Amino acid sequence: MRRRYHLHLPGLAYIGLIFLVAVAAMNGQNNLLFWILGLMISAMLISGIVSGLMMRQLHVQRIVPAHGVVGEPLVVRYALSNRSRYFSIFNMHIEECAAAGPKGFGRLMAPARAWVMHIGPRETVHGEAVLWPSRRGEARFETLRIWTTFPFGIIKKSISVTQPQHILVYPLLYEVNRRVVDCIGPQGLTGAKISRRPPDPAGSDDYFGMRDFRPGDSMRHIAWKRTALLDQLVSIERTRPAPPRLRVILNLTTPTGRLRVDADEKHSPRQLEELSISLAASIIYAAGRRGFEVGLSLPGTGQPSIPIRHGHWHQLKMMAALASIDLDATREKPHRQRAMDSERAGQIVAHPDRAEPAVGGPNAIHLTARQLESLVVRPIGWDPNELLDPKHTGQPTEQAA
Amino acid sequence: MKLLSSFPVTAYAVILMGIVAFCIASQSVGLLLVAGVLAALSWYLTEGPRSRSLPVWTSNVLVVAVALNVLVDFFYHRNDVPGVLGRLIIWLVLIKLYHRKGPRDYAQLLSLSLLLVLLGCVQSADLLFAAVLLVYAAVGLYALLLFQLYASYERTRTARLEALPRGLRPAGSLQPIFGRRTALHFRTLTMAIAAAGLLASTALFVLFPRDFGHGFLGTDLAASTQRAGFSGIVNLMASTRITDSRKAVLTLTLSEGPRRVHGPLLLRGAVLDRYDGHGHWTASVGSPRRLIKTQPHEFAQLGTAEAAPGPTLTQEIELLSPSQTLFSVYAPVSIATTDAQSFRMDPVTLTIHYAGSRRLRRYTIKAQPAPSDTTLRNLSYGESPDPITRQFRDVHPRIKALARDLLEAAELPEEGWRYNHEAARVLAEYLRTGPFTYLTDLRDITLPSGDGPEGDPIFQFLFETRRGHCEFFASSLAALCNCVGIPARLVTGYVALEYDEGQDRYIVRESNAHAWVETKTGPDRWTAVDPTPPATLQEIHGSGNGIFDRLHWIFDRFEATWHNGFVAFDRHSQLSLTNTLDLRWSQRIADTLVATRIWMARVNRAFYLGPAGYIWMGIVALALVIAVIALAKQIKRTSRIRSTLRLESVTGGEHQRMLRQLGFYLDMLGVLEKSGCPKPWWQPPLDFARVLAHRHPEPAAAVTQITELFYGARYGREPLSRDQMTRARSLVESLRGQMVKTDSR
Repeated sequence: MRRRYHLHLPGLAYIGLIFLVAVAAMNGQNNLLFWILGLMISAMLISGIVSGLMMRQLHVQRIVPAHGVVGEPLVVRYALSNRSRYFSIFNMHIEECAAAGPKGFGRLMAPARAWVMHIGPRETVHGEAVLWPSRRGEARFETLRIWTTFPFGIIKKSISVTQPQHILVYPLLYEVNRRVVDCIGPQGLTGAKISRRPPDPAGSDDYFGMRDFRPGDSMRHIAWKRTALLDQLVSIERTRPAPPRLRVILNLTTPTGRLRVDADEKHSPRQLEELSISLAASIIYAAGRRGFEVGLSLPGTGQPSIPIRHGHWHQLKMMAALASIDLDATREKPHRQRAMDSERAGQIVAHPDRAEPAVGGPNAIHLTARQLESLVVRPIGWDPNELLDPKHTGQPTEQAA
Repeated sequence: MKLLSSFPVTAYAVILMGIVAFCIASQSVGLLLVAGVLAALSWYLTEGPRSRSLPVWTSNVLVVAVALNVLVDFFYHRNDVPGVLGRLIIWLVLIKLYHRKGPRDYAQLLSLSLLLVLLGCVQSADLLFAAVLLVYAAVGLYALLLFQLYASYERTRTARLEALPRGLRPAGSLQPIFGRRTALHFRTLTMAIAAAGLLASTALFVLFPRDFGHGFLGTDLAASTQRAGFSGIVNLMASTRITDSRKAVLTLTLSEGPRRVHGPLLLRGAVLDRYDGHGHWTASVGSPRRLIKTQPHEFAQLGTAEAAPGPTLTQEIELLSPSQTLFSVYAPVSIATTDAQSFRMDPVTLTIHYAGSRRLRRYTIKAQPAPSDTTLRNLSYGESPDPITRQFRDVHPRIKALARDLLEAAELPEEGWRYNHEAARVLAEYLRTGPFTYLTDLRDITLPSGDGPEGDPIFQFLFETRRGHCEFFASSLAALCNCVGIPARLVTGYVALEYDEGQDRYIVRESNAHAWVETKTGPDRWTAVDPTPPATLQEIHGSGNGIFDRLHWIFDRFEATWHNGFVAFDRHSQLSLTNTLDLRWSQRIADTLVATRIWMARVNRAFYLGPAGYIWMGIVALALVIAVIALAKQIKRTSRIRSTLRLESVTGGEHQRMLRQLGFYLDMLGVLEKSGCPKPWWQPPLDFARVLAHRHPEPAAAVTQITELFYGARYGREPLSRDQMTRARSLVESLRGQMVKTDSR
């Protein structure tokens, strides 16, 4: 923890005024001015003492959310505790100091400031800073600075606290066109390719049958009448629906420099890669909302494939994988994954520049980042890069899907 | 939030107060009315229901106009730089008041207001201004602290709006984050800061070196604005309007004999015996002045010998404004001061001047209204004045003729005019009852010009205008007397008529400045004759006994205290204060030591302890001190246990047992707090222990064990055994050791 006093512009102006008053008081031996001079000097002393006392009793803890999403507000909270029994703390500003290194939060979002007006004795209040991430990736918070100019605005007192923390910012999500989602679903054009699993006896939907109780069965599934009759625990088996299964493959096997981009292309190669990541994330998001079981493969990045599962945490896992892709890292050669082929699931392959049929199965749907405008309706939240044409109304054609 | 929303009103009050303070300091009632009305109107327009503000171009034009006005103002008031600057600032403030105001504008307005008050300080040191200044300081402090919160709120709000991506709208207005009882804590802090500021500023005021750098800029900014009723010269050609200031300049208490005399008391300040024929009266530089030195509280004779017995007036005079001239009733015979001082007395005019460097605040002077010839001879040291009558040889023949006619009409023979007070009284009576009007404002009178006798304003007063104030009446009487051979001189000073019955003293104000005549009635004797009509004198210089007069007298008392205690505080005051404090403390310590020694000796004798008794008493005293400290600490600790562990609901023996046994938990909380892990007040102890185990696994074991012991004793109501108490203490100690190690790492 580092404490500092800063003399900023108002403080310098104030010192200048003190000097002038001192000159006037001494020149005229004006006692009223002498008193004013005393008041001004004591205000300066009191300013330093009060802000110092307030800072001494302050304890701060940064509370970052689990993740952020590009285009959505990222609220970082600060728990400020006043450990003093008597003194109140007023007017505290909290701001993040730019972290050194490539993972500093400043790379992904503009800094913001939190402000807390008052903390009573022995109280804890939460201030919040609203950040707007403009890029996906890992944001690292290192040192935060708390400062105040209270009570008179003459002296700025600050303390710096080092609390290393990091947060993943997920890629920008787009609202995928309804027809596109229909197409990749079981009722769509490719529905035949997306197989259903047989009903799982351990499901929990409609009645299927009865069996002996197994440890781990829910109490709610015990057939109490039959149990009483047989004098042993019997569980009710229920059916479970088998949702459509989808594997999203993001093809990042081609290094950025070797992507084929036309001269009049409005997007740079790196932007195309980012768009493809956003496309993959958007499809995962849309499929998850439709109740699909989704998996993710990231050929070229060296990351292991994420198996096909359903659920909120699984979706976050995939988003985290997409967020932590380092496009500057060396790309690995693609290798065909047999397990991926054997799983009975539809495949969607997202390519940055153009489709490569070698990646993905024979029935995979290939999409490119250039098609994004026709595949999505609008960004969910704010599009910091405005990669889409603002006039775009998001009506994709059937052909594009 | 109410606290933040109250800022604009508070800031507005401070700005208004700054304007009022400056107008009071510069005594500009007109400016106060205009600026006050415009400022009040600005609130209605900008903060009212319609909330309109001045367009930028309009305010720019107004600023240019104000700048031009300042140039003109400066041209006409070159000697009043603070006034010109103050007026400029007032106009700028008024223009800014009509603007839409953000934090920056408020900062500028508050700064301008502070500058206004500083300029007011340069201009005035009156009690009224000081009272306004004190209120301004208090409200200004509150507004300044509030401004910090307001500005931070506005800046945070603006920054958050600016950070919003394009096209997005804020979900709602920014809500400030604050704890409980914010307003109460804010007011408490403001009061604490105000008290600390007042103490510190008073200490700095007392300690700041005086007489250092006095006048090093070559000019005293305030000098040009000082007013004075009394003047050591008289210029009839310049007197267009005499002062009507009610500012008290001195108080006069008659300490021996009657406390109040019938009729006016004429306090002589300067004697003017040189007249140039064109309205200018000055004092002659004649005989050398005598140096008079006084010892504290001892009367020093002003003459060569002690005055002959006779009716004496003992005047205790308290000067409320700095003055080098001493005022006294004719004829002063001795003087006394509270400390050693030195004066210079003119033996011819019997006027006294202060010869010291520091400000004189009070003196006591004895005067004999009807001194004997011996006394007067002693006072004059044998000096005799220049014959004044020859200065009026070339006076206009009509003046001479008028004087002669008047004296002949009174059937006074010409050979008996010299040294005849009756002759002077006849002439004075003519001025009192004749066709003359007493007037203080002579601005409509055209002053005479020309080098001849017709260019004399006395001639104009006597034969043409017949209107004037006391200086014209006195000058005319002096001229009438001198032209017929009656030596007469002009005297300026104050007339004391206003009597404060509550304090049994006369109050003399600047408006009580007066001029009269002294005529020679003997070789060394001069007798006062006042040609001003007595009714007019009473009307102008006297006072009633109404409620307003009494209020004024009360105000005067405060003003006297203010002037003598604050305005007149100088290097000598610093020294005397230091000496007094030092003396008091030294004396008190010495007295205490002596009393202690006597008491110890008495105890020693009573118990026959012998020489070792002092050692024993020292040991007992030390033990007592230690016991008192321990008791105080125990009381404090008990109080903390009671409040921290919420033992209010537990009563009787259970309460006492818990107070006795549960201190170890408080110790544990203290250790954790020092190490940066304070327990939030709302968190139950067991929950706190769990959270701590998650965050700091190292001390968790000890904390958990201590918490379990605490739970058993506090909520299980199981008295702790001696072993459990010992274990709890050892756990706290081990926790302390662990935390110290963690901190050092």
